[in-house]
Amino acid sequence: MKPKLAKITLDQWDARYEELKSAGLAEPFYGGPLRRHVLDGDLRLADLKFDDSPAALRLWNFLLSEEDRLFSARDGGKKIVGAMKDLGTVPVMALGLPNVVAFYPDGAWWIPCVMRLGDELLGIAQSMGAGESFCPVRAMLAAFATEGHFPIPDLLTCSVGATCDDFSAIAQRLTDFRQSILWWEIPARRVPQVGEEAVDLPGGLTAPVSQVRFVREELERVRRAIEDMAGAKLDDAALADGIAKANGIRRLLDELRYKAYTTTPCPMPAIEMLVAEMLAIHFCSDRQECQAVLEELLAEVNRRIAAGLGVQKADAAGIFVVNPPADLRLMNLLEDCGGRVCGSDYMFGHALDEIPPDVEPMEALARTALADPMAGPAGQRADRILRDAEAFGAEAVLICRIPGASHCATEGAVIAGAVEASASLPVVEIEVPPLIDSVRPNIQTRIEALVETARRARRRRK
Amino acid sequence: MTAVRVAYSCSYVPPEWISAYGLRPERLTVDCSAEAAAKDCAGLARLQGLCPYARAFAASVIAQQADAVIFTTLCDQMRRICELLPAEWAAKTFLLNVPRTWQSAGAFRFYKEELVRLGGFLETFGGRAPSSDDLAALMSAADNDRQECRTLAAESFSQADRSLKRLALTGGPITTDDSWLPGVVRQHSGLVVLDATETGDLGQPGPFDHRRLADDPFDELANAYFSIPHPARRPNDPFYAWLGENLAARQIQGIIIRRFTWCDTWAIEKNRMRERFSMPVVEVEACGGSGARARTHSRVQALMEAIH
Repeated sequence: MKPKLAKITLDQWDARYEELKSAGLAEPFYGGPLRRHVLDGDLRLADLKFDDSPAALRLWNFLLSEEDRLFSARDGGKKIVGAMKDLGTVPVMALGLPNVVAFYPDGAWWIPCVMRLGDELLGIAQSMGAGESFCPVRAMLAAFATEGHFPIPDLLTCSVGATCDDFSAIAQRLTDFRQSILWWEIPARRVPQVGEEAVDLPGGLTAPVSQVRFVREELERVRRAIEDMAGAKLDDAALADGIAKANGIRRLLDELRYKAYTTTPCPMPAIEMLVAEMLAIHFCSDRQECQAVLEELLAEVNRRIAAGLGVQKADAAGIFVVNPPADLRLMNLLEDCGGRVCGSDYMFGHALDEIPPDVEPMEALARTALADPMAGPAGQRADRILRDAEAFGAEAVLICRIPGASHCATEGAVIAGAVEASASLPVVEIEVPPLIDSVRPNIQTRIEALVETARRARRRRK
Repeated sequence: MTAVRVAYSCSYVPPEWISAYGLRPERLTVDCSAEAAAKDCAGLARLQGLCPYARAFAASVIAQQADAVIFTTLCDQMRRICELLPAEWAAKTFLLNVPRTWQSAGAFRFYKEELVRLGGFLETFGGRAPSSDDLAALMSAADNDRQECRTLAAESFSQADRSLKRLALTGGPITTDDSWLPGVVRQHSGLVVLDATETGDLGQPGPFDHRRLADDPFDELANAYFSIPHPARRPNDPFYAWLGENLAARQIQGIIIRRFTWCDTWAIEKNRMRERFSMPVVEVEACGGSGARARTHSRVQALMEAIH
């Protein structure tokens, strides 16, 4: 039996880092020990367990240095687009211009977790009118107000329409703080009617041509705004180049996800895979480096697969995870309970699917934007989850409920119902607050029950 | 023969359009009591975090045995309830895409396309597409009715007891649960002189332009409803323009926002109203049961004390 790779704590990473440096570890400019991020306030890292590879170290450092990267970009004369909510489309457009960099202020929703509530963003948001009935993305409102977590963008866009009301309301509140926003619309995706002209979207979906045309027009408004901000033409050739680069990342992630989620023993921990997937939406503000980070991670996965090494026992129960957990610690807990991730839907499946390369760039981007799993019926999202769960060999489904999120009131029931009816997989839906510590025993018990149920079903199948 | 009953809640559903197809539009006044929701909509009653209005609307659709239901995308939870209702009730459902944005010609065109699609839906159970003349006649009649209401409201305002403090009531749709609220306001020497709820003046289209109505009634219908200034539109500056104008016209001294638990659209507006208008603003809980009534009493009392 092959030895199981150890996941290590932050303290253990200190020693591991010294060991790697002594052995000649070469790091990119943003490299360094993980400890420094804790000293900067990212206290939750001290509670997590990490993969011990240099590839994982690079991944974490890349993620946690984004703020510095954005400020450097500004200092270097680049224009910054803050893209809100569309999760995967506007940053691809920004890739077409060399002097533009895009990021998602939405990412601030993890700050309360990562800083262990230390920055009091949720309290600040509450004082601004976004209390606990809103999902943790309200931290973004406070992050804008305090101006301490990212540079204020030169252009701020927000997709609305078929989005959660939390986000739309919070974004509207931003306009009270001198943030002008380019609002653009992604309508609720619907099934084409009989006889209605339809078009295929990424992810195996279809939509009426009229809806795609509308989104395309909306994206044209975004294109003009980016051009005005950058003082440069964002022509179709530049867009096509951006799409090709984005697809390169998406293909890389596709291979990484397939290998990490289907190989036994599991070659990469759940938390590192979650971070890797997040890179798809905006490349963490540096597409080239993003590609290098993912290539190194994939190489590590390939090396482990070849050596038969894994981070979980071979009998770990394969769990398909729906929605990103508000507390990253949940991913560790899932593995501590004997699970492993076998597939995921972190609400941005459309950012993982290849952008259609064979149609005009704006058409391709419109189709991709409309393929957002959150823009369509929850039943369609459930269908995709079922397909992917089967493809990745998942044995159970964990739905992470986001506190206060308008979509979470109903979608869990739809997804759970579809999974139980069609795939007979066990499902649990668990509300995950930004810090799970106070409810950890309850969450742990439920995940353990899910794992045990999945294992029992596996034994019955044999 | 009984007309087919088409239920809806959202202000962006033009009842004239449904009537023009020979069907009966019914904007439901929902019953928010938990008993009603549990009895008529057991599946939805179990969902955690569900907006009480969305749940009660579904329950009311079932209790009142509507033949068809129109939902819109203006509210995320109502959009999603549209997907769940068929499991609870056999009514035909339709989801009308209402653009959140309003500043582009494309958004207006999209809304018009959606109304056409709604017409197609109405035809699937007996509706018949109207002629332009028929539509124009219906619109004129509805416009006259609304104008009459506005005139009555203006007269009522001019005759109101000047010693009472003048309030605006704003927020989500009024329900049967709210019938006691004006009494509470009166009890504390106040009077609601502006109904800026979604089912009140706020949710009404402006007067039709009679020349455009004669030229192209459908376009005028769509334009009037598309221009309703709801706080969920982005940006929602037109809502504040409308509210500011009406607060001034009716010399409002204080604002009550009725908010359903989990309704983010209205929740975010409380602080914004406070910052924009120099008058006290309080929030009261809608559909909150007997506990909420006690809190509402206290809040309305506090509001009155804050008005000088």
